[in-house]
Amino acid sequence: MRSRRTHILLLLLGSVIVASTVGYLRRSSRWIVTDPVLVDRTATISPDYTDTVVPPNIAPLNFVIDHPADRYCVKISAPAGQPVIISGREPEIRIPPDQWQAMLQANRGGEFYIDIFVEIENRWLQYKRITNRIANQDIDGYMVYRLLRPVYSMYRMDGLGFYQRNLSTFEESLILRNDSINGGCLNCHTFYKNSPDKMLFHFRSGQYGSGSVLCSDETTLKLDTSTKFNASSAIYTDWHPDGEAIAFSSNKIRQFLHTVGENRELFDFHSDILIYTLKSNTVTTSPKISDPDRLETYPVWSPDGKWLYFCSAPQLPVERYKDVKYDLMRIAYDLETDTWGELETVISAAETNLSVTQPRFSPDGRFLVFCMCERGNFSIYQPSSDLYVLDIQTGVHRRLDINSDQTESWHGFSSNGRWMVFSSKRRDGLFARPYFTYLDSEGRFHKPLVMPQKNPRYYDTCINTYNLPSFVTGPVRLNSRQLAATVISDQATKAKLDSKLKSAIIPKLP
Amino acid sequence: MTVTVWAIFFCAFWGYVLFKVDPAILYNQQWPVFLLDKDFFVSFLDTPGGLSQYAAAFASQFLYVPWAGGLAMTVLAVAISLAMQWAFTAIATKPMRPWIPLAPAVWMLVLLGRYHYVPAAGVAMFVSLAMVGAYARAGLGGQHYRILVFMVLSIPVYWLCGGYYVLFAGLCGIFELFGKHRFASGAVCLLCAIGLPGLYAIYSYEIGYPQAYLFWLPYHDLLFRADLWPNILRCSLHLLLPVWVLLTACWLSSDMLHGQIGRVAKLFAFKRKSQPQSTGIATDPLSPARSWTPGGLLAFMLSGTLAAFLTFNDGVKARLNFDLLARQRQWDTLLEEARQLPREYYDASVFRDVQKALHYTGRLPYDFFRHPDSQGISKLWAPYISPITLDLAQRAETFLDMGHVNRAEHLAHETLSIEGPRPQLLQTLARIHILKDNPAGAEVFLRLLAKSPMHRKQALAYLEELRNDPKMQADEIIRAIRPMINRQDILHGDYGNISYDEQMLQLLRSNGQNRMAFEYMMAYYMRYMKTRELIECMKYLPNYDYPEIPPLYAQAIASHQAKYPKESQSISGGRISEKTKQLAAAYQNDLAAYRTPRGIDMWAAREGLAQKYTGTFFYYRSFGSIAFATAIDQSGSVTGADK
Repeated sequence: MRSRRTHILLLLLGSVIVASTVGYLRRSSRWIVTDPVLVDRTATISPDYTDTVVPPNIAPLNFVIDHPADRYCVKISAPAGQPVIISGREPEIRIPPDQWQAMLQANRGGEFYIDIFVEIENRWLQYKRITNRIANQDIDGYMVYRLLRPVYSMYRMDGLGFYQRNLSTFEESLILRNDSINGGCLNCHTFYKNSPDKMLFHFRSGQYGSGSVLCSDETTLKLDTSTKFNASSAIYTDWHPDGEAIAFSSNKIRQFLHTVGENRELFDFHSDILIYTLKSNTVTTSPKISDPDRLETYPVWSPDGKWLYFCSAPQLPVERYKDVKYDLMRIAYDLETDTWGELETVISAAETNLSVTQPRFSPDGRFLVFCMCERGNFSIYQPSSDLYVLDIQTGVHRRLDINSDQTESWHGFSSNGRWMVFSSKRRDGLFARPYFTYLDSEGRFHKPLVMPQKNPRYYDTCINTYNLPSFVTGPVRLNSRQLAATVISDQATKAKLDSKLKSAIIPKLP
Repeated sequence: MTVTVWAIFFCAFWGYVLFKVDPAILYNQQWPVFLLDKDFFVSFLDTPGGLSQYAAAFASQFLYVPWAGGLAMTVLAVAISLAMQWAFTAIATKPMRPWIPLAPAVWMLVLLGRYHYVPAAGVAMFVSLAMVGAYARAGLGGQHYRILVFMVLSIPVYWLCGGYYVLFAGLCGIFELFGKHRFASGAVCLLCAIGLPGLYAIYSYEIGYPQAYLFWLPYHDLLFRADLWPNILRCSLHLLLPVWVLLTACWLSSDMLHGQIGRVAKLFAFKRKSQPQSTGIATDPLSPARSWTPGGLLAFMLSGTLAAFLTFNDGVKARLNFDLLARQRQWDTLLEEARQLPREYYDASVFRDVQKALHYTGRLPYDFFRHPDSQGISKLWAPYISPITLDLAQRAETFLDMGHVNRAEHLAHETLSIEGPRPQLLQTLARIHILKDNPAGAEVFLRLLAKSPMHRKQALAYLEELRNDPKMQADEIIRAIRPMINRQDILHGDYGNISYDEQMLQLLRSNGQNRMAFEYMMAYYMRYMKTRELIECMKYLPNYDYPEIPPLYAQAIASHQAKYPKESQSISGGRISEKTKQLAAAYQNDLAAYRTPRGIDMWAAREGLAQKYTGTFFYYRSFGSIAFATAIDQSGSVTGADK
């Protein structure tokens, strides 16, 4: 018996040694290049991590060399620290995380270089050096997004959920998936100042109704913000900078389909903006932001909390959907005294002939980034959607250079304001991917890079779309069970309509 | 002897699956998806039983190559039988009949022959039986220690087997109670069998009770609502084996059932140190205590053969074969098969495929009414894919063939959302995005398809061609569709549904040469007796090479003219032939013969006129879809091959 066990152990040990040797020979950190011949161009790598600015705390930018060859060798170096060398027969370059992090940390604010060598028929070629910059400022440690297949009207019981990704590693974890709430829809998550501890998201379920879940530290609350005034609860939301109120839009949204071109089109039959005050559990509004003749949506507070920016368009019959173009408006609001100022048009659709959607402030309040597209407010379905920036100091807006000929939308800033994430369909026109761009002190947005993945070919076959990526400073600690329990709970906190409004308004919706 | 019997039995098993069941049909029925991809593997890890499903998805890939598919099913059956032998020889306290380990394989044959078999259930059963064997043979000592080991084992077993954990825990409980006479550990096992899956369902929120206990049951809400009792019976058939296994285990390990009822009291003794500590292992796993006798062997082989052949469902096979023919676009054979198809399987999906086959064989304007009408949903049991999404996928392909690329895209994406990256669906989506001039989008689907082991070569070759020619003119299907693509945008959806004829008209306005759209629209007008619109649409007829106005169209026009003599319609495409006019007059005369003082006796007329007029518009107009569905005039049908 003892002899048999010994044989088995020896066999196992031998297998481990053989596997390790094969692995070592296939991919190693040895320098194997001899007498390379220079090629007068840079190698094509995928994803495109060239001439970009990289966060100093980002996970390794693994990539694929898009050139067939017998062997590959890559040297990643920077002025300070040891170079990283990866060689092997496969074009997939996976950078060792420890060496990568050490190099980035040692060279904050500097540059790093990628030298690519390929061996074809026993001759080594060296491509021109790729240079990237390392920013001084970190990107937020985590990002939360919704992951789903391109949805029309049906989705799988477990086909939609909120996930979070540690941006310094490749670790992705589930926050809440729709199979925990019997297949409902989860969307429009918003965080208070990028904090993972204060979060609001919308849910919609045939079984559990629709509403919001308000998460604050370890507690969760099922919230129903619908009132006699607004039939639907909060959809697009934004936290007031003091954390005591949430501006939200109440929308009646319908989906249409085209028989040519981009298939999907969303249209708002009604929408108004309202303010929910946490302490008093009341919903209030003003005729200025809930005009029955206009569609108001996408509220966002200025970082000083004095202004509410939003998108607004005249209410037109659905047959005229092409004419629905949203202005960017703002209104002063004093949360303490509940007093409203006068409406101001910031960007007029009549002048741009484009529709403004999804405004988002940089945390310092200097820049407002928004989308503009041909029509409507749901820019993710419109290839014409591009990102624009409004300089609040000068009042001048411009189209960003980082746009592609495909859809750009759902952007958001990091807590330090130096990084912006946005969803772009630039790779294939079909699936949105999260891209990061660096905003320097002079207001320039640098060439974006797609969120790195452990498998550099990940996006080549990924049929999920990354929806509403949002930076958060740490991991969301609430677990899936607690969030699901809140959604399916019978006890929802029903918001009260502001008593001042009750007598002043007639319910708008049945 | 045992080895020889097993070898003969499983060779016969393989032959039955290969020649009688047909793995190609199973593959087409299951649409199995399996990707050589870490993310695909990881997606199975977070559900109890997920790993069994993963293993089954892998095994099902072999169905793509019929002989290998038959072999994969046979290997699974062998594995279950061996595991059964391994478990039962460990827990039985009396010698086991030699046919018992083979019974699950016979049951598997029955389910395969009824096209219900769920390979994941087979894998889960194998794992649970093997774990029972391992537990029973471990020779564990004290009761507390046994309980601890069982509880620890429960976690991986539930994770591996899902609902089949009930079988594992149940058998362990029987072993402890009846075999080892340990009440406490037996009770713990049985309580776990009853409670653990339910507790997990409560804890996780991610699965409901049916999924927690019965994941191996191919249960579908929709089918249960549509057809309750047959589906309950089918589910019962699936439950039969686990229940039989549990009862057999009781019988083999219980003294109580041997007539020594007085010993029942022993079970209630908490601790019986004086009890002989038999391990219960009767024999070596491959040498059952009782060997085959010639009579027993003959009886087993005979009853196994009878069970497999008598329960075989020819109707379902014909129906599934029909789907396969449609997938392979064997239109002539499909029309032949349609005539043989039992009426109860003639559902909306068959109707659509027949319509497509008639179009591609050039017979749609001639034989439309010669095949039954149906708007019913498929009553096929669909353990692998929801009938709703199957319907969507089929409609997506039809729309694509016609050139309604956006409609096809919509329906294909709905299917993708629900069913995941099924290989056929990925092919369709790739074509859709090539036709939408988005080769980069198509590449995503093709690269994903290349991860499917059975489609890898084909997908990589297609990708290579796509890189050289983003329009993919080499693809015959794309070449045929591209000129037909709809160019007219109409908003629909929540705004209002776009009518069927409007969809066809869009295609015709985009390209008047779109024969498929024309024939489908005319078929639609005839089916709904919209003769005025049909006459209007005759303006497109000269675009095609019909030698004369096809008889069904001519009959519809003649019928309309007879009904509305004052309307003057100019008919494009030619004149109504004298033959049609004579047929119309003859029909009217024959129909008048059934006139009674209370009007025409419709039932008698329908019977009386069927022989002569089935398949004509006149007959259909009089008797509606009942006439459509009543008879298939086998002698009168002409297929494309006869043209």
